[in-house]
Amino acid sequence: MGYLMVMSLSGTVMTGICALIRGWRKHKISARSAYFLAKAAILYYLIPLPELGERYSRMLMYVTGIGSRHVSDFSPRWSYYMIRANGDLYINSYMKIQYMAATIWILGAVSVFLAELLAHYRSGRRLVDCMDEAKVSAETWGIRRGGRFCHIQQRVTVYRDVPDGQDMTFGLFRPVILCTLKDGKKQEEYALQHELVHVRRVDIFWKMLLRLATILHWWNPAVWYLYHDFERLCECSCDEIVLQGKTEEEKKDYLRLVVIEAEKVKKGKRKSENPRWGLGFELGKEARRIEERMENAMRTKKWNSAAAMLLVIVLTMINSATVLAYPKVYTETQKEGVSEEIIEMELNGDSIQFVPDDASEEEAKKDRGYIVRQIQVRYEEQFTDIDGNIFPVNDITNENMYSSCSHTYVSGIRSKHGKNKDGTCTLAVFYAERCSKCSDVVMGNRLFVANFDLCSH
Amino acid sequence: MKSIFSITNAEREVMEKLWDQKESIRQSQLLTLFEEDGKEWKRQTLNTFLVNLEEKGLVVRERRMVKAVYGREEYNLMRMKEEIDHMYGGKLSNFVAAFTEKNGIDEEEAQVLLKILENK
Repeated sequence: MGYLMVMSLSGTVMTGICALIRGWRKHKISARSAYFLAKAAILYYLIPLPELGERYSRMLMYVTGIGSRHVSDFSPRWSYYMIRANGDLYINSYMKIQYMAATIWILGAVSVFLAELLAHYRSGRRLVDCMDEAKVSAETWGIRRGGRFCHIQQRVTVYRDVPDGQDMTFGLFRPVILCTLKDGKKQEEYALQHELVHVRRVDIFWKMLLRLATILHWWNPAVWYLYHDFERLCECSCDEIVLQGKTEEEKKDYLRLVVIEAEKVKKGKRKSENPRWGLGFELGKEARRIEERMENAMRTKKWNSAAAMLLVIVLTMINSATVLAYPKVYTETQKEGVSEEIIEMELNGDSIQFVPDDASEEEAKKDRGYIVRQIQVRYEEQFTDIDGNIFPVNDITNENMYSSCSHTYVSGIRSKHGKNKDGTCTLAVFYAERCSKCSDVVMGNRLFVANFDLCSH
Repeated sequence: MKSIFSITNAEREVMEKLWDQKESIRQSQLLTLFEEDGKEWKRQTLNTFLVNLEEKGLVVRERRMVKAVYGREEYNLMRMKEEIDHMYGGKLSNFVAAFTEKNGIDEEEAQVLLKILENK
């Protein structure tokens, strides 16, 4: 659940940054740059950043040689997540419910998305059958993708002179382009170029990702803002690519075609989709979009792919840095017989470092990552109960006292501290029980052994 | 939304036969045509198909005479248009890229936009 929230938050931040940049530098920034940023925002909604945070930490560790990693081969292991809050560690007993809720959420979102995808695929197949039955002329083109040494050929089916409808592209792996009847060859070329740009940029793939993001984060208004804005950015940036290097007159011809085709679409509809109210004439929503496309196309802006990429990387670093601010929560599987009280008690003691039980001397000296543990040491051998009370342990027990005692054992841990000649020390911790009446201590399995480079006990 | 031009394979076969005829045809003659093709349909079966097609507005029946409302090309075009509208309407438009706005603009708006364009 935490990951889903972080994805939503980071996507929202990125969407906000995109909107701010576009609002602030509207006339300077090209639609292609804005489109690039919007695609980055979509990825933020779908990529769990805490995973990226883990990669950042490891990358920094390798580069600088400092920092710590978590090890997973230690005991004990518990089945609850530990949550650090207000300087204390707490056990999240609801972790399993959260896991279930997150799983249902994700599976539900993916199911809805796949259902829509399937409906779209079926619709596409029916449309292609219609084209074939109506004997609309079809051509198969090959679009080359990739570099000189490694490339693939993607087949695109183009239906020219479609008698009705509108120019559009659908299909991801085998795209289909529909080109309606135009007045001239030039107009046909413009429309086809526009659709081919959509195919080259795999705009449909990004639209699919955005749709998945809206399903996954349906409750987030920022993702819906991006959803409605994306279409506009997609078309504006496509226009920029098509009109690159064209003269003013050619640009106007192209935009005239956009207006004429939009008018044809409206004529073909059965009822008015764009009702207007009031006495004055106002452009409807669709007309305002076309006006924006016109303004964007006529204004020349520079597009620098390297700058756009750099901007995205910088924004990613800034946006993702917050994941490094919190310690990674870790999961541990419960060892049998360990109660929640013991777990909490062990986690709230003094700081130490420790090595896994089965680590050799050589391994222990390696610069590995260690989990920070906390145990207070007052005696060479001590028993600590679940309330944190510390008692010294003496192996010599009064025999009479032991045999006559009715014994009331309390759970806790027994620790043995051993100082070495070189100034280091070792702390071995065991499960244990202590009789509160006769002080008899019964030792259980070893929990762990900790080696200190400098004994501070 | 189910398409009104969506017909089953069997209904398609009936339509193909009707399109091959230039004029109205008797229901019994239609049945004979199918029998000649090796299709042993009962009168009731053919009647069911014709009733469905009549409900969809694709055939008209009058005094045991049956006639297709639209020609083959016309039907194909209308079906194509409907599929395009279906493809670019509602949730399916999420996976489609188009040249112009999906809902279009009216004549007045087009005039205004063209004027704005000329003034640029």
